[in-house]
Amino acid sequence: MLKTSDVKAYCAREPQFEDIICSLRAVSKQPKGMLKETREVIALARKFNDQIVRPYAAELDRRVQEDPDYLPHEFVEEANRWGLYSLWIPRIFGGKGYSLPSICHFLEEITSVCAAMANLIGVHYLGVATLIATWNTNIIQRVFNDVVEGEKSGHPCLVSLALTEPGAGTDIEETDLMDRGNIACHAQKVDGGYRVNGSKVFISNGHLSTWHMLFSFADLEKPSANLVMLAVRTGTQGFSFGRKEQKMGQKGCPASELRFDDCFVPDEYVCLDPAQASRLSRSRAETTMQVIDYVFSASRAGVGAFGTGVARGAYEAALKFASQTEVCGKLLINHEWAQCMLAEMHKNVLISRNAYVESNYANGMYGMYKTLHIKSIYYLVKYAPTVVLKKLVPLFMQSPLGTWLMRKMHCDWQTDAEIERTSGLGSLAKITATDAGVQNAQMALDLMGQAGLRQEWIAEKHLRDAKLMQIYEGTNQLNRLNLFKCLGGRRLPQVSVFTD
Amino acid sequence: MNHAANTEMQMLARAASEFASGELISHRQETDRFPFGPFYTTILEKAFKLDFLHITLPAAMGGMGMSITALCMVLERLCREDASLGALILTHCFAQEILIQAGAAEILENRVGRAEAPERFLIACPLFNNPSEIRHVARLEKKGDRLTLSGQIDYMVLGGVADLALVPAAGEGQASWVYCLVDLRQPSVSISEPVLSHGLRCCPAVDLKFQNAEAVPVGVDNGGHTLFEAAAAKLSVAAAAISAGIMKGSFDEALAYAKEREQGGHKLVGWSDMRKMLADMAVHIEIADMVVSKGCQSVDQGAKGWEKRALAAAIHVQESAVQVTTDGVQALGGVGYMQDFGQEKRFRDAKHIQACFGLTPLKRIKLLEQIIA
Repeated sequence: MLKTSDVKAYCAREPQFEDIICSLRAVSKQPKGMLKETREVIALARKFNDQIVRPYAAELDRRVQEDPDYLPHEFVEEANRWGLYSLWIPRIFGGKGYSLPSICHFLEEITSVCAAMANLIGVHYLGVATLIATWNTNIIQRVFNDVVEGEKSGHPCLVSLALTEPGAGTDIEETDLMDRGNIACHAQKVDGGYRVNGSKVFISNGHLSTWHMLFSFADLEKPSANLVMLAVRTGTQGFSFGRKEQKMGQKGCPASELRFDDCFVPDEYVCLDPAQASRLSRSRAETTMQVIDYVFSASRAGVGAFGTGVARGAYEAALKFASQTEVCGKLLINHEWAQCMLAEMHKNVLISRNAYVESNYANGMYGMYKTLHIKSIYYLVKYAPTVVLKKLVPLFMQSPLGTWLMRKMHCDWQTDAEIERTSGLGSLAKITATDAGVQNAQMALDLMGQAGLRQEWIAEKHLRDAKLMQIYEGTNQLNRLNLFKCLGGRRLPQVSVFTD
Repeated sequence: MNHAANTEMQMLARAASEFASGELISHRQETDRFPFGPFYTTILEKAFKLDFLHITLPAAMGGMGMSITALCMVLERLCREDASLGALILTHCFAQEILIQAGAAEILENRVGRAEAPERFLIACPLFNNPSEIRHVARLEKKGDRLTLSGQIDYMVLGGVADLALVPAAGEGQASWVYCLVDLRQPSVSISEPVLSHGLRCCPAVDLKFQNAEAVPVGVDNGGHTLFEAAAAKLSVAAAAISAGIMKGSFDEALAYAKEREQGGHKLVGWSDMRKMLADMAVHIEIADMVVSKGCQSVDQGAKGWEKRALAAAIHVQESAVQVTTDGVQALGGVGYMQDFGQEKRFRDAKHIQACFGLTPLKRIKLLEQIIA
């Protein structure tokens, strides 16, 4: 019907074919083993929910309300015993190597019961993803080895992301805003490393983590081109924990203040700095934005899973209530208006799930998961003898060649269009699902009336938990602008974003 | 609202504003910890002495005998800073209105009007359930010349604070129900620990268990539904005033923060999307003002169709408050989610108060039924 050149030309028009349905392109390329792993992971999550999360969700929430300083070490230790902190660490780095998108399905399941506990697991992988985004394979190998050893020893080793500052929330997530903002976490180059001063706030899992992926800056006048990413271990001299925030919801997951007072971080834990960034193909400022996009493209799909989970949890609570409560003489579930409300809530869950799955397809083809989703590599890594992974791979990963090759593949070879696609779809997943989460939780309370106001029904907890999802990983306003920047307005030369 | 039409109302309005800024703000975070922190007994006693709880109690019964407009004016001003006290007043006014409608003036005059302490004055009732929608009634039995209650009533608002409660009850197998006055101090009444609730923490609720507790029915036989509807109709605009106050507080705090906080090199309020969000909040508030004002006027004048107007006002303003307080948290970003600020509490309170008098969607259906009738 059409010449190949015509097909190509028409599909290159906005919206581009590649942006329309990532899933359609990805499915044929995806290793079949990923489907099996996803099924297994969902089953694992449901078992974990039954045995650990559901019996403890309301109690943990209540306990932290009673004692705001309470830290849920016992839950973290339990998750550690279940092997959840290395489940999604790639086998080449010593973990169990489950396919990375499957974590979103796992997190949806856990969040449908308790968002705080989902965060206690999921936020660790935000730290993991941030470390991976630097592709400093030597440090990745060492930090992940600590996580794996922590599972063996029974002493959990979690990784956090330390990004937000007291004076810079949104500003630190966009290079267009960084240089105009109030970024204050300074990393001064000194002999043998960096000396850090400043503080970070709202750091999820901060008090519970062993490693902290710190965003600091060598020049506060122009932070966008002077990113210094450091791996800081709890106990490092000059590093301390400040206050633990009192949040409205997600109470079981601490939000911590991290303080750095002349904290010296040796070169061996400098994941990325201006000197390293200068060796990449993009400018240093572009590299900073690429790293941020790279992390958020994956983590915002994760927050999409959180949003989907909380939307689902609210829906399931309302469904349960409606199916056992008589209203005006008949079961609520048999009132037409209630059925339509429940259908709307169900719709929100399904659409949100589709949004984060689509985002992950994009990450699998163009972003963080790209290499591991290539069929040959996937099966090679999956079935490689343990001895090879333990003896030979570390040798490569700890050598400069490992970092060079991974950065070449993942940083230099990632095109601008791929960055925009993954970043835009990450934002889409985030805003779609988290708005749905808040909406569903509010609808659940509408349907449940007096019962919904009680903490033990969990519906009100879902609402408290859901609201944070519209704020962290970039506010939904920022994500709307990012979606517009990356996908909506990108081909219009007259568009400028963040220039009010 | 600008209902300060006479001196008395102006004084009351000023007193409410001063009380809110002087007493409520400074203790807000601490009192919101209830039931894990102490109940705000001192604040309640001060509010009682200032007659905030007596506004609509007829003068002949020891109250101020003022209008719904006056009540709404006070509620809105108090709830700008903390809605718990406003909800507590609403709960009592609802119980009081049921007693007035039931012709139980004697109880109000001899017991409530003469009370010298809040716990003797206040009457608990299940504010957040319409017993005709979700049947939640105790079992009423005649034993000799006594009437007794058995069974359980969940979420009795002020049940742990007041000595008296209005309890919906019905005889075995009876479809219709009646309100009964119950002295909660009698040993046949078990009172649970305070329920851990979504919002309005200092307007607490408990679960009550009755084992042949003595009860005094109020109103005509089986007239509970009629009393509920009459009282809810009159006070729904007061619930709207609470929501209006909450959203005004949310807007004030969001605007103040946006003027102070910098992002991308200039004040947050300079970013056009933030201005649009704040403007949307302001639109909701201006409309709420008009709606509550008109609703109060209709109720006080008994204008034809006032019930519809009051109900529509409540539905609209409460929905607006949920939207405004959601944006109010969002405007502050991460700090809006923290308990150091007032926004997260307003977010919870706005959703909580929306549930008063029963299921939210059914209020819409009820409005249509009134129109059709």
